[in-house]
Amino acid sequence: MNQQGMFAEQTLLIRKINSMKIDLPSVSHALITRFLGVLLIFNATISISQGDHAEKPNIILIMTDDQSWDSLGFMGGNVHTPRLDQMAKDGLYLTDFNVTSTVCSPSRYSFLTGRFAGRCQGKKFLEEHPPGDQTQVENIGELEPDLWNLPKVLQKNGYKTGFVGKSHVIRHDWLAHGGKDAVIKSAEIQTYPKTADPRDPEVNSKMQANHQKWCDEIKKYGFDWADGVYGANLKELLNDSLNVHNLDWTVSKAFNFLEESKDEPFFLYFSTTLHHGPAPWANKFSLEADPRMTGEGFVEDGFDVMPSREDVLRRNRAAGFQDRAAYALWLDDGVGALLDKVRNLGLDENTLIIFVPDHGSYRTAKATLYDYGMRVPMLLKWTGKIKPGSEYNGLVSNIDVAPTILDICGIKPPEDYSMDGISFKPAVFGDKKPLRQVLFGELGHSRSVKTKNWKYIAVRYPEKVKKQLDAGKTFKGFEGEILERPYLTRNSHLGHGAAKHNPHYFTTDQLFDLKTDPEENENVFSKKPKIAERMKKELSDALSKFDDRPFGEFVK
Amino acid sequence: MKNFCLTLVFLCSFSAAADPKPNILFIVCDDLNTHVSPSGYNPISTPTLAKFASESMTFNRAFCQYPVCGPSRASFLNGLYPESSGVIDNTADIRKTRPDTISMPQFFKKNGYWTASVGKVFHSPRHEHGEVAWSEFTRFENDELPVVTAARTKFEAEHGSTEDRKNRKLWKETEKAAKSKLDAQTPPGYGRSGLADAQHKDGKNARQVADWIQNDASGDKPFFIACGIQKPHVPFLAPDKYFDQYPLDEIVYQSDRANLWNSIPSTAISKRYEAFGFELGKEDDKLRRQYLQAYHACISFIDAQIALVLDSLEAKDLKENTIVIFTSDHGYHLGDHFLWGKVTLFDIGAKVPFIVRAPGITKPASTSQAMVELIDIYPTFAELANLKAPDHLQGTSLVPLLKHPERSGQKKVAYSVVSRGPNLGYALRNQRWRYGKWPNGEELYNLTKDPEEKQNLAKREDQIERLKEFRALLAAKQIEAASKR
Repeated sequence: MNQQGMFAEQTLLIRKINSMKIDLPSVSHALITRFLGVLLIFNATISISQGDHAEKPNIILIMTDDQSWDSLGFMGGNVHTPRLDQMAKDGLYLTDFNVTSTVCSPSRYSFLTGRFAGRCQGKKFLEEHPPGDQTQVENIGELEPDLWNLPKVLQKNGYKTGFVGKSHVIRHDWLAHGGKDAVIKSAEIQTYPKTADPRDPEVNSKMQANHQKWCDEIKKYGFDWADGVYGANLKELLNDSLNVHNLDWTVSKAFNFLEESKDEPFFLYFSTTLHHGPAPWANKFSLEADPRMTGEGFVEDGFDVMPSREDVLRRNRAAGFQDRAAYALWLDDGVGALLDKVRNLGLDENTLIIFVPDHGSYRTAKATLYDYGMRVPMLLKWTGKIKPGSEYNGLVSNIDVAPTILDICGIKPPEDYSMDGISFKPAVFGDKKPLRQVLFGELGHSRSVKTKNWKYIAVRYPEKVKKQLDAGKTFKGFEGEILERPYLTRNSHLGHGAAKHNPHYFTTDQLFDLKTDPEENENVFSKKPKIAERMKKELSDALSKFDDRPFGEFVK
Repeated sequence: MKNFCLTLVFLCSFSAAADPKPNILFIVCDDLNTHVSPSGYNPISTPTLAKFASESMTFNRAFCQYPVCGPSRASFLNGLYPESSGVIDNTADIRKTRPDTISMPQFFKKNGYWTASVGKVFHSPRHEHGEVAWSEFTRFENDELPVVTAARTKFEAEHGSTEDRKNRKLWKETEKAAKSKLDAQTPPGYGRSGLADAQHKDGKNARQVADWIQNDASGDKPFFIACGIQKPHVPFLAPDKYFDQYPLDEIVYQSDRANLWNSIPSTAISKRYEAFGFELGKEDDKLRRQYLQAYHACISFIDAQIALVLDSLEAKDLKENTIVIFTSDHGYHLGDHFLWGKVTLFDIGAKVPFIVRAPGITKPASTSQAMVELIDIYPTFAELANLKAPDHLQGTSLVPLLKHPERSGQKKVAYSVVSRGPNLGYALRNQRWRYGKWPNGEELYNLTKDPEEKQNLAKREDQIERLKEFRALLAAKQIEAASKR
């Protein structure tokens, strides 16, 4: 599909969403606040009254990585994804689901805690931004060992909690950063040459030990069970042979968990490394790789839980697509295998299955607050409980997922569990009413507020950078080019891509009319001063909820 | 209506005939354990099997369903677990226990194959299905051993012809005494036969198969040839040169600790070691070396005979159109766990070499760790021949695995049983664990850490959950195994 075609698809989709009636500028702010307050109380009442006799459904949260709309058939992608297309038809499709931060770690942090990533109290995050400093949210946030999160609360309420797949939400100190010669500094992780053969028993035993280390560590954050774990994006395995996606491995581990846990209420967090890099469309990193090369080294026995990789390529070709598009079908097969497993175990009617990407990446909008990065499709399937083919167009987000799951499970969060999100349980069961009017977003040096019709993005550099700017300092770009203003993120690779493809990336104040300009190409900040003013006020309100975190003129 | 059916049958058979069928060569050895190089055992030389494996796919975890010839063969030749075949000893005959079961060769014969058997395929001449199963079948005997010929010369000089009516009884005794060390079943004979390769049963078996292949014995039909190799079953007899390959003092083995059996249920034992002249918990280095030498000599001998069979396919340009499976009816103890012979469910007793060459499907030198049972052979051949397998089969076609050696397979456990008096002992294995259930106890071995099965963990408290899982699996498997009785 060409650029225009994709744009048309998106516009169509967004037009559909915008049939919603409520529009911020037409309703007074005070009214909204009151309305929201009533809604929240109403929600709380429901969850308490249902809490006593609510069943405990199983929850499977399937989280994909860096997945753009163009890798999903039902969103207009030029790919073959029959199972996910069917999942959209079999359940509920949240068309305006958003992640409040658009890179892996902070997004996942918010999914698993219900908190904004800027409120993270992880060690590394606080080291980077001590209280009083403006935060720069990107891949440094991590779960806190001593604070509540979703799996911990589920665990406390009789759930067996399982973790399979990509982490990237704990122990950033165990992850190698930088280029080819990156070395993990932690003595706790064993090393071997990058070209070492995992078939070598000595190398393999180190790989197994490292994997075990990751599994043991994850269990400290609310998971009873962890296996098939990747610390992050494969590179941390520091080995060429292992730098390949392996859905067979992770799906087989998920099967183990499901088989072991089928008789008790369970929560499974299943997180794929697809479609993050190494480029899964280059099949050498995916379908052409040896399926026995895993995050725990070489597994000689192999796996047999989903169609073979040759079969994926074959069916993809038969459906008329090039091999470069087969990665989408592969992921689709993985999701299909999990859906089938749940059905075969007879758990269909007692299991809520959620599919959602951690953020988008189309037009390199990852690491920006544009909708191509923020807005991702969420699918929810629950046989007999969720009406097939339903849609909800209201604004919801990743910080809402933990409160929603707890609400659905009839669990009242502990009093000292601080969450920013709201439960969208009513929307899950068919209520079309909007649940939130405004959604806050944060990434690097930018912040945003989004309503159904408008988005305002503010770029404000912290004091230290401002001084440099005032002094006329220039900054070096990813390719050595001279930048007048620095990227919004420390990660210059991400900053480079985002700046290149998003025309207003560095602009201080950005206002977009999402109704007429869903791709956020035209900044109408100067043209719409009244709306701009109202949206700036919204941002001030949102930012005021963060303790001791300045941001430009909004919070001093 | 009848006419319509006939037309349909005609059409079906016509379309089947239009689809060229692959030939099938099934080589099954007798009492051969995994002491072959493709199974990772290197002390002995099996160049034919090594070369064959380099062109084929080797399954490292293939198991018989019963570690004794008769029941094992009844099982894999009919695609049934022993509890369903009804054959759980060497006497029972499936034609009585489960009449009208269509055996594998019978199935192929019915489907237009020329079927032939040589040597030991069905358990014994008494168990031979004959013309129902085979277009041709034959069994050979060894030529007279030189020790017997010498005794005969001496005897005839003293008493006259051995054919003489009056001499018959005495000659029988004299002959038996002359060859007992070499040729007896109990105590098992072993040693240099003094014969040439071609004078041995297996020399003849291999040459017969090569002859059929070279002379187009199957005519226009595709062939299904079962080559029943008869060594290394006792007596461990082979031509002298194969013994010379294994000097006694170079033989390597590992002794077990004397108290090994304190933690393993005693009913897991098969007492055949007594016939070999051994004692439980005691090593006899000299005797063990002699038997090992003889067993290994037999393997090298059959390896050389199998070369004739495989070479004949190449010589006739049939290699690309012939599916070959090489395996054995069960394993064999050679002092492992102080045991000798078969009839146990340890890996050494139940695991078999298993090599498949399916041209265009299997990848050269590929290996699989998938769990395989010998009952999988029948449905595998059927699928490879594009024939609909009979409904009674309890195995699973290996074709998906042949295409994907890297896969673990769908079969979670391999299952074997063996009689202990009126009861059965059971074994279940997956890639990591082996569970055993005996009339007087249980076994659990961690195959990753203890592949030789020397540390029984069944009484360890930290294994309670695993044992529970295996007990549940076994209960389900027992029902499944008996479901086609």
